[in-house]
Amino acid sequence: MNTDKSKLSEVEHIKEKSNYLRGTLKESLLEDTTGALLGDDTALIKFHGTYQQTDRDLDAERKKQKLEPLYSFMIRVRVPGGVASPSQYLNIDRLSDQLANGTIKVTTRQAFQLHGVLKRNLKTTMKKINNYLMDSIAACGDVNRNVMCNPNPYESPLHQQVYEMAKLMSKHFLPRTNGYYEVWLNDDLQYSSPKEEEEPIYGKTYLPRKFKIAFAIPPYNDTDIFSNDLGLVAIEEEGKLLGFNVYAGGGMGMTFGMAETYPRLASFIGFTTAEKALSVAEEIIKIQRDNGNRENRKLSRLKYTVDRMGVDSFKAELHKRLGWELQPEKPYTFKQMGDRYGWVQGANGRWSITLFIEGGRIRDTENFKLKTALKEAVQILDGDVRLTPNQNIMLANISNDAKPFVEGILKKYNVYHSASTSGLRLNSLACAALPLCPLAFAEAERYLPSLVTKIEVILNDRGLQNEEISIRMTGCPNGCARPYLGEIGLVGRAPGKYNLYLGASFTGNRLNRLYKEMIDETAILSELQKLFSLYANERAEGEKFGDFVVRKGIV
Amino acid sequence: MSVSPPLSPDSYRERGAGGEALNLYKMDNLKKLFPITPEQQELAQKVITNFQENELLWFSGYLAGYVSGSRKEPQNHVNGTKPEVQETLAAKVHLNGNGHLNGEEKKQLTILYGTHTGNSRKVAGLLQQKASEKGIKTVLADMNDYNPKNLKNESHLAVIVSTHGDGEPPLAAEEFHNFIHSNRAPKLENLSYSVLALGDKSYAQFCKTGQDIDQKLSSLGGKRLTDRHDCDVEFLPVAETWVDALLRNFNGVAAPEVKPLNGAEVKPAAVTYSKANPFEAEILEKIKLNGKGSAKETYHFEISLQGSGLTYKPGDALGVVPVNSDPLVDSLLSLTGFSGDETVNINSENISLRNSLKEHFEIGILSRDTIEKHNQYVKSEDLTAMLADVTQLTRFTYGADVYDLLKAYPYPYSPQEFIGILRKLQPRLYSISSAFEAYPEEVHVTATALRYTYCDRSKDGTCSGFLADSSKVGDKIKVFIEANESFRLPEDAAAPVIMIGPGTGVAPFRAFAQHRAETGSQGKNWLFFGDQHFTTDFLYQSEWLDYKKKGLLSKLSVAFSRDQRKKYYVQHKLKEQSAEVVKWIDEGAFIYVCGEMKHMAKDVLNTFVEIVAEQKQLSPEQAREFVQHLRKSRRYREDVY
Repeated sequence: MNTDKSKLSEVEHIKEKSNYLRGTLKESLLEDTTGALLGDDTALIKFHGTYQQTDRDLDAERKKQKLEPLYSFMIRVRVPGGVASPSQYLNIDRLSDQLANGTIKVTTRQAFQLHGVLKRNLKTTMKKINNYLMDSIAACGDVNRNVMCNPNPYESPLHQQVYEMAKLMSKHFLPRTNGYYEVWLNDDLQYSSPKEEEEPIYGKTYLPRKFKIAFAIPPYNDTDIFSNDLGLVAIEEEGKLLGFNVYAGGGMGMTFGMAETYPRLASFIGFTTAEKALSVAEEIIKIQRDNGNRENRKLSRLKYTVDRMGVDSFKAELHKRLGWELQPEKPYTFKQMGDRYGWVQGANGRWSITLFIEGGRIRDTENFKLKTALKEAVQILDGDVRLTPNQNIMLANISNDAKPFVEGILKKYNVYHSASTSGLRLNSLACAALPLCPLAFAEAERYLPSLVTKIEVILNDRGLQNEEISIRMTGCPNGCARPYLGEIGLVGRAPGKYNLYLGASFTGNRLNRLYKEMIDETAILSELQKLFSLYANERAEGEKFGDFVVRKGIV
Repeated sequence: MSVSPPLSPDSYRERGAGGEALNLYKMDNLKKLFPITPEQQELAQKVITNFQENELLWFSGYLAGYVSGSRKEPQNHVNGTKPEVQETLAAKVHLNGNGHLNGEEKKQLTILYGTHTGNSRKVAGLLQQKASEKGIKTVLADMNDYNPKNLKNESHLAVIVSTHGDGEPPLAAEEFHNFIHSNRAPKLENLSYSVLALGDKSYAQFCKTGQDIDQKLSSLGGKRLTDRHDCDVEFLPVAETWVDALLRNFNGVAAPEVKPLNGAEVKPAAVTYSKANPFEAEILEKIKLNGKGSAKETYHFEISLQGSGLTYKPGDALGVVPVNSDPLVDSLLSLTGFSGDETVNINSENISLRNSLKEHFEIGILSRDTIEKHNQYVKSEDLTAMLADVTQLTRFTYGADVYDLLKAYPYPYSPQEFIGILRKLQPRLYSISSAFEAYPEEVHVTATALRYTYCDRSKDGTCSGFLADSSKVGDKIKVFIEANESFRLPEDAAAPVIMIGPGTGVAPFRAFAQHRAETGSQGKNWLFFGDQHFTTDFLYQSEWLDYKKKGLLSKLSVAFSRDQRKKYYVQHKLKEQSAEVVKWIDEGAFIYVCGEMKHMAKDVLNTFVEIVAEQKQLSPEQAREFVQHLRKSRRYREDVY
C-alpha cells in the first residue's frame, strides 16, 4: 500500500524516529517524579511487551488528591506454545508477589501477565524475567506476538513436532533490534545481544499492526485458529506431521460506530509441508508489511488487507513471492475449542491435569488459595506447566509416582476440578478490563464470575448445568477474550451495559451475531432465561446452544 | 584561606572556582565583578584594606544579606521603625574596628535580638521605640548580623532571644550563643545587660537559650541592668514589664518622659483580626492528600478569608485555634469524676467545665507549668524530683497529657482549682501553602494528623486532630496570620531558589511557587521533596509536575524513604545532585529548608557542607564556614519545627 508520509498514523512516525524501538525509554525510566513514561515512549514500550496503565478505580479520587493517576505497567511474558518449566512458573509467582500486584493473569494467548508493576521496578522485573530465560520482547506491539500452540500432550509425538515449529516461528519473527537488550539488560553482561542492527523481516517501521500466529492440532481448536492473522492447522498421517493447512486474515477487534471494522475468520490460503511453513509465514508477514494500512490503525490488521486485496489476489501475491504454489486444503475435523479438564494420560504414560482458572487470574483470596495451591503443586512437579489458550493452567507430564501428591495438594486447597462447576463457567473467558486496562468501557474479569452465578440459576432450573456452553466477555470491542467466537458473547459498551452476541459455533468456525445492543444485567438475564427455556425444550439431540439459536433463526 | 559565598546573583555570575575567593577583594577582580564606578571601588577598597580575614568574611556575609533584601524590612519592626543596625554596625566595623563611633562618648544601648518567628524582633522594636522616647540612643541588631567579637566594646546590652525546640537557640542566635560559650569569649566587666527570654512552657526546656545567655554574660563579668524575664507564649505583657524595668535602670538615670506627638490618640481602627482577635473563617475545601493505602494522613485545607481584610506573604503561617475533642474531654471528665456541667469562672465569665476544657485549656499535652501547679497540690516526691531533672521530665511529658498526669498522681480538685492548673489553649501555626496573589480571598494550609498511642490510649495532635477529625467543609474555625519575616523569597525575582521541603515542609514552597508564577518571576526554582512512598505521599504531585512542564520549576527532585530497602531521604538526593547544587549556589541561589528540625534540617545542613567541601575542594571547616556564611547572609533560610 503506497502511502503519502504526511498521512501516516502517529504511531508510524513514532516507530520511524524511535531508532529501532529505543526512543527515550532509558530517560523515561530514570525520571522519578512521575510514574508514567515520557511522550512517545508510552507507545514504544508496547514493543517491549509492556503497557502503561492506570488504576482507573482511583483516577478521580487521585485527581482530587492532587496526585497523578496511579500509573503501573502490565508486563506480558512470552511463553511460546504455552510451555513453562516449573522453575519458570515459580519465579513468575515470586515476581508477582515481590514486584507486581500479587496476581498472575494467564492470557488467552498463552502468556503470563504481571500487573501493577511500578515504573521504578520495571527494569528489575524485566531483568528477572530474562534471568528465568523468558522475555517480553514483542509480546505486544506491531510485530508478531506470542506464537500459540495446542498445549495438550495427549497426542504427544505430533504435539512435540508442532510445538517445535511454534517455537521456531516465535524466534524467527522476533525483532532483531538491540534496543530491548539495551534498555532492560544493558548492565548485565551475561547477555550477549544480537549483533545485527537491522530488521530483515520487519524493516524500520515494523508491521502496520500486531500480528498473531497460532497452531492447532485437530480435533481441538483450543487456540481459536480462525481468530488469528495466521492460523496453521496441523495435518497428520499416522502420527507423523505432514504439514499445515494455512489460514490468513482472522481477527477479533472492531470499533463501535465504524462499520468498516469487523471481526473476521481467517480464510483458507493453502496447504504447505512442514519444511516450507516458515517461509510461507514469513512471506505472509511481508505482504502485510508492504500492503497493510499505515494511515488508520483501526483498519490495519491483515484481515482488512486480505479483504482489500481479495483472497485470490492475496494468494497470487503469496505464490509470486514464494515462487511456488500451496496445495489444496487437507481434510480434518474440529470437535471443540475449549479445554478438557481433569486428568489425561499421554502416549508416554505420563499424566496431565487441566485446572479451571476463572478469568485466568491466579490469586489467593480469603476462601480460595489458588495461587498457593499452584505454587505448592508446581514445587513438587516432575513435569511442566502449560498455559492453555483458554486462560487455564495444565500441570503436565507428571509421573505416576508424583500424581497422587499433586492431586493431594490440589484437593487440599479445593482447586481440584469438581463436577459441580457448570459447563458454562468452565467455558467462560474474560479479558482483564477494569480497573487497569485503559481501553475498557465496562467490567469483564471482575464481573463475569458473578454474572455466571446468576445464569447458572437459570441453567439449573432447566437441567442445563452440565451443558458446555461458551460465554466470553470483554470490556471493549477489541476482543482480547475473542468474544465474537463465544456462543454467548458480551462486549462492553458502557459501565454496566453490554452488547449481547449469540450463535458462534462451539468449534470456532462461525462468528456470532449481534442480538441485543446496550443491555444491562437484568435484560441479559431475562433474554437468556427466554432463550435457555427454548433451548431446553426444543434442541435437537446433541445440538449446541450456538447452533440452536442459528437454526431457530434467533440470530 | 577563607571562602565566602557569592555576594549577589548579579555580581557573582562570572566568578571562578572557590579557590580564588580571596582574590575577590583585590582591585582587579573587583573591577570585573562589580558594576560600580572607580570612586565606589576606591571607597570599597579603603573600607576593607585593614580588615582581618574574619572581618572580611563577616563583611561579605553582611553585604550579601544587605543585597538579598533583609535591608528593606520596615514591617519587621513594631511601628515600622526602620532598623539602623546595618548602617551603624558597618560604620562601627570600618571606622576604628573597636566598636565605637569616632568621637562617640554618649552611652548607647545595643539591642540584640535572636528570633525565629519574629517575636523577639517585635520586642526589640518596642524597646528601641520606648528607649528613643526617653532620649536613649540605641543600636538595634539581629544576632544573625552581629559580630560577637564586638561584645567587649559594648557598655549596655539588651538581649531578647527565643528558645527553639528542645532548648536550642534559634538559627539566628546560634553563632552568638556558641561564641559566648566558647573560650574565645572576652571578659565583660564593663558590660551592663539584661536578657528577655522568650519561650513556650509546654516545652521542658522553657526559655533555655535566654537563661544560658543570661548566666554566661554574668559569669563573663557582666552586670544585670535588671533581672532576666522569661516569657511564655503570651509574651507581650512580660516583655513590656521588662522593657520598662530595663529603661528605668539604664545608667541609673531615668530620662525625661517624652510625650507622644499630638497626644498620641490611638484611633480605633476598623476591626483587624489577629492572634488576640482571630477571624472566624469558613473551610471551603478539605482534601486528604495521601493516596489510598498510605500510612500518612495529610490534609489540604482551603479556608476563606473573605471579609477579613487579612493578607499574607509567602512564608507566613496561619494560626489556627483548636478545639479539644469530645472524646478527650469526656475521658478527662470521667477520670476526675466531674459531669462537665459544673460552672467555672474564666476571666470573670461563667461557663461550663466541659466548654472550658474544650475551648480554653491545653489538655492534649502536658506542660511543665501544669506539672508544677499540680505538684503544689499533690506534693509528690516523684514530681518534685522530676521537675528538678530535665531529662526525666522530658521523658515523662513526651506523648503524655493531663489525663496521664492525673491518672498517675490524682488529686480531688474542685472544678475551679482544676482549671487553675491548666495551661491556656494556644493556637497552632501552620505554614501557609497558598500565595495571596493566587488566592486573594483564601488561605491554604497543609496539616498532617498526628496520631499515636501512649499507655494504651490512642491520641491525636490537639490541632491536627481537630483539623483532621472535627473540621469539615462549611465549618468555621478561628484563624489569624502570623508573619514570618525570616522566611521570605529573595527580593530579587531573578534570583534562583532551591527549596527543600519534605513532608508538610513542602507547604510554604507551594506558596513560593504560586507567588513566583503569579508575579512572573524569572528566577529558576528547584524543589526537593520527600516522604514515605512515591505513589501515595507525593504531596501536590500534579501541581509540581505542572509547574515543571510549564517551566516554573526548572528542577524537581524527589526522595521516597520507604520505596526501597535502604532509607533514602532528601539529603541523599541533594548529595546526588552536588555539582548542580553548587552551580546554583554559585549563580546566587537562595536555599530554603522547611520541615522537621532535629533530623531533616540538620542532615540537610550537613549535606550542604559535604557538598560544598567536595565540589569546591575545601576542608570540612572551610566548607562549614562557607555554609555558615550562606546562613548569615540569609541565602540559607530555615523554617523548621
